[in-house]
Amino acid sequence: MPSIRRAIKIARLFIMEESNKSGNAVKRLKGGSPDEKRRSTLYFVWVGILSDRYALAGAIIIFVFVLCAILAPWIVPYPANEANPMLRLRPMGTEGHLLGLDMQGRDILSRLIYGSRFSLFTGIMPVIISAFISIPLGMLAAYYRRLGHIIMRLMDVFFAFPMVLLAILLAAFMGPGIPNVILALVIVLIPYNTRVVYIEAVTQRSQGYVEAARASATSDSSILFTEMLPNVVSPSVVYSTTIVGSNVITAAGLSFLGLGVQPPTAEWGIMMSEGRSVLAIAPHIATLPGIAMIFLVVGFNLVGDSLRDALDPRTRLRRIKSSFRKLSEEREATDAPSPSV
Amino acid sequence: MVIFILRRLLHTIPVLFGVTIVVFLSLQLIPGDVAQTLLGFSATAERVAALRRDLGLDKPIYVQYATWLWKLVQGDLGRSIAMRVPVASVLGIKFINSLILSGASLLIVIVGSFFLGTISAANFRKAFDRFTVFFTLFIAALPVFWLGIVLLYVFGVKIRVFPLSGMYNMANPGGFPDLLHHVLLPSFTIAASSVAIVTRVTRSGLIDILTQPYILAAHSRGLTSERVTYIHGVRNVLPTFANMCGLQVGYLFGCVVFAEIIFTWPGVGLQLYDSILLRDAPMVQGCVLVVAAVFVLGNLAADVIVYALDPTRH
Amino acid sequence: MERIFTRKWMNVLEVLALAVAMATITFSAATTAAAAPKTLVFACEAEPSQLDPHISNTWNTFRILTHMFESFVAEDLTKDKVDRAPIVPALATSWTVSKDGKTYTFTLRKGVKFHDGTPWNAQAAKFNLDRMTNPNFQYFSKISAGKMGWMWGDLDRYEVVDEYTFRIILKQPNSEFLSRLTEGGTGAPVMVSPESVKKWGNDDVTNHPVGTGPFKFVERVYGEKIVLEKNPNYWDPKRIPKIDRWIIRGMNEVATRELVLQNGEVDIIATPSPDSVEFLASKGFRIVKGPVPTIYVLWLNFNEPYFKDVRVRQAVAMAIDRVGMAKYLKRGLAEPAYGILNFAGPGYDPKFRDYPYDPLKAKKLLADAGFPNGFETRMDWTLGGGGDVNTQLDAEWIQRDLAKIGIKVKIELFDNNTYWDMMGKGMRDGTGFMSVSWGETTFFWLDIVISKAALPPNGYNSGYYDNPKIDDLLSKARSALTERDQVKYLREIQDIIAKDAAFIPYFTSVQVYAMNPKVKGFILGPQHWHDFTQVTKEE
Repeated sequence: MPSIRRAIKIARLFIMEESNKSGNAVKRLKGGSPDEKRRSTLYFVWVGILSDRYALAGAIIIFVFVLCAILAPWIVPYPANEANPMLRLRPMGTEGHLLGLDMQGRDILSRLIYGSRFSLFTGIMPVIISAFISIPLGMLAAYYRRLGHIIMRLMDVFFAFPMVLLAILLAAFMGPGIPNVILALVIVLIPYNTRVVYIEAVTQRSQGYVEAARASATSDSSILFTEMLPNVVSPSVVYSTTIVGSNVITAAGLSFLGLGVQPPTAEWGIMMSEGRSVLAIAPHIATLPGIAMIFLVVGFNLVGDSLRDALDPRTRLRRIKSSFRKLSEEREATDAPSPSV
Repeated sequence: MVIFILRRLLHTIPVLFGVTIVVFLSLQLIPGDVAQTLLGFSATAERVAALRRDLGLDKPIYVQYATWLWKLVQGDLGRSIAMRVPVASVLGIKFINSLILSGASLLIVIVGSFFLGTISAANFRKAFDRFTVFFTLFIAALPVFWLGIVLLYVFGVKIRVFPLSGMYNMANPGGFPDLLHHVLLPSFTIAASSVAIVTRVTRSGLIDILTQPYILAAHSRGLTSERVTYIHGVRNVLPTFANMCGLQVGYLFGCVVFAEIIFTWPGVGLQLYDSILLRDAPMVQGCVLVVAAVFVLGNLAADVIVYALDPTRH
Repeated sequence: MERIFTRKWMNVLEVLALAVAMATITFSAATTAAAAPKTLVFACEAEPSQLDPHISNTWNTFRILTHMFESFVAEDLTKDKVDRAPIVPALATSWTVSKDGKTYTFTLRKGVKFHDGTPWNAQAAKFNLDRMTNPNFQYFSKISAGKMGWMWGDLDRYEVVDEYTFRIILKQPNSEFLSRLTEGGTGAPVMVSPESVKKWGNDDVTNHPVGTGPFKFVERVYGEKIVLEKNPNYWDPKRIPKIDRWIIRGMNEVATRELVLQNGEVDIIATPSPDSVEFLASKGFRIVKGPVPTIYVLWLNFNEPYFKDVRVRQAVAMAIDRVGMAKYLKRGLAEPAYGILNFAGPGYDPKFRDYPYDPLKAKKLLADAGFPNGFETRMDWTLGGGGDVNTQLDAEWIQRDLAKIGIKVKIELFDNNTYWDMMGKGMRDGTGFMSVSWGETTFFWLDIVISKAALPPNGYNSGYYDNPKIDDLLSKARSALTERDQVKYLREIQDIIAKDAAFIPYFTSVQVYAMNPKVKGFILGPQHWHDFTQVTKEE
């Protein structure tokens, strides 16, 4: 029977791996009651991030970039557009220029720091704005069934476009510039966000408390606002955090194609595009902004993944089960009475 | 099965209509006169006036849409401003080129993530698995245009293993081997991120399955562990796997644009990019329409395959 | 029987089979190699424009057209160590000019056929002249007439004397008439096959170019390539091409051009980036440099309110660091330019200076003119055509220099062909600056750029500079009977333009080509286009 033992060992290892991530959350459980849905969700989120070392790393990365963005004018070694023509295309490690200079003789490190502003802004803003639109839209679609079918069919049309392609189409025709990029991304993100909200709201709609509230003649808007909204917000928030990373890439991609920021703005996408023309002789110009972007995106992905795991009922349940098993083992060891589950 | 396909087809047709509406309306986004935009900067006032009459730009918008759609159905995608030839004549071959590139990328995603996902799940927590988990986390975050640039530099400039542009060697076109040589780098660039994502999902899906009681039961019945893993486990993860692959198709199509630009692959994506620069609105519309239409049909095909693998999902 | 197929025999059979296979492969490879046409692949700076020479724009395109079409005379571009390429007979074997300088009588070359078999004779010449200049002609090209004022502006009439004699009479003598016949880039006075125009019509003949030149047209895939092949029946045996096929690919992005050269996909490229020249040379590629009559000029929009005051325009001239651009941006492959008369063109004065580089004074001038805080405007810029590279960097440099004196400029980029259409229409409202590289060995370009007659839509005076004195002086320069007089008038023009700061030159560049060492016979003459008939490629 060696294979069975191996199988069991694998299963246990996997479960423990998952539970390690939120070992501390278990301690909170000892006190709280499972009915206070809202409260324990927040706890899971907060504690989940703190205890999960990956998510913590991700949060730190994001924090560093946010600091760069805010403090940019004070921490950059050179102004973003100051050009030193004599040092054009110099590589990393040139004296006074840690990351080298670009084809106009501008310091790359300074431009990277300023670039974080755009990446954070065009990465996060569209997600937030589209969430503000999608949440009411999705709830309405779930609550009023006929309207909902129409709305979701409309969304299906937008789903028919690959995300980047739709963004390109909109941005190309609207013209270059940050506001148009944000607008294009908002339009592209709304269908995805709305669908997430819609699915969650549909499950909520069939819950008992909605029927009960309707029966007691509470107004529709107050049902939506007080009952549905809080339960719909957290999956939407979680979904939003998971797409911020790819949104940063899409926004930079639009600038790469010439559809976003315009020269001489310091932005990662446009820096990569400019760097292409000197790739053979100065590869650092095109590659460094990409590396910065990868860090930022990984940061967002780590936090997003952890949030999703923390709020995903399946993993939560598994963790609860195994955590209780651990708890009962502890209690047996100390001979205390086991709690009623 | 047939009913399912028919039902999905019925669902797809209004979506395709919607796509045409979006593409048609997007032209209105351009500031300025539509006819002037369609003819370009050099057009004389008479030609602009003639086009306005021809397109019925003074008529209500739904009439304009109907005229445009009618032409579209007949294969008339308009006339390119820059090239002065019908859009459809240019897009025909470019579409096939893009299809070759996307097909190659999809193939890499399917084969690559299948093997990576299943093998790492079977070797849970061993070196291969740890490496895969770490690596995929990293690769999933790579922007496709950055990866393309880096690969171009490493394999094109530094180690001259792969050609740097185009589909065939212009001077001496070499048939299928030449094409293969040219398609490897761009398709790998496009596929990388998707491979990472699908591998992770497949891996965790397979692990979930392998920890189920019925797998233990299979072990207890005396089946060897490889047989259990690869036959029972994998068969049950196939629907998840296929679903994820289907979801990646959209992402792949978006990435194709960037890869075609960086590797100068003469497909619809590169044409789209050039046409944006050239302010060639009819061509931009044509490119987007073609890609979106293929995407819709591709999704339909993916849905059918997923359904075929596991009808109970719905 | 079975004994035969023992291992020993099998081995021998295997070896034999292998040998036969290898022989077949080598043989077929050899034959295919021998049969394969000698092809030269050339990557140029932009997608070429129309192939109808009478309406075509850009040197980039004329580079190709000059191999398919010819005029009465031609430039001998097979010499590179000269200041100006000499004029030699082409479709005319000899010519006489009347004493008053107004009548040119050409004796046409006999036995020449267009690529489609149509004979070349005086009727064909008349057809072409009619097409370019006669509004009552059935196949008159309005677009061509609009562009070619520089060539036929002084035309009075023309006549067929007999089958091989053609006469052209001008309204006034034009000292540059013969040399202008060899020019191109804004329409070209070359001869197209009358049958081709009749067959395809004025609009479509651009897709079926038929001329008399050493190369003939095979096919064009827009955005990808133009394929020409050798014309084995060309009338000059010395200029029958040494290669069988010539493929031209337009590549906007200099990085792509350089990459395909390094990869062996392309044999020769035009204008690598000045930053890459060293790198390419170190990789073993041959770099050929040479002087060329190119000058980069900034057009200012006189319709914009801020440019109505000459002090503002002068401030712009003083704000741009031309020396810096030439030295650092172009890595010394350019020289700063100060006057509208270009290097290697008539009247060029290397000592001429218009304004010094003085940003402080520039700011003061702006304030005096009422713009203490500068103003905002837009630059419409081209991605470049023949001889251009990194034009975006030029725009950004100028943008930066102007920002230092308070002028905030937004840059919009266009592909070269669209850009020329825009130049033809005149600058848009809100656009303060446009710029192209121009300059020729004759001053024909000044006729269609700085004169009142060249105001849009009749020319490229896109900034609406309205000064009739320029037209007068240009006319005098054209009809001048001595070179000294011509130079006198041209230099007067240069002074006026500088005083008005109407057009601001910034640098003049050297032309550069990079090629695979297998490419032989490429000569870089002092012209924007070159003779590819002598080029050959080693295997």
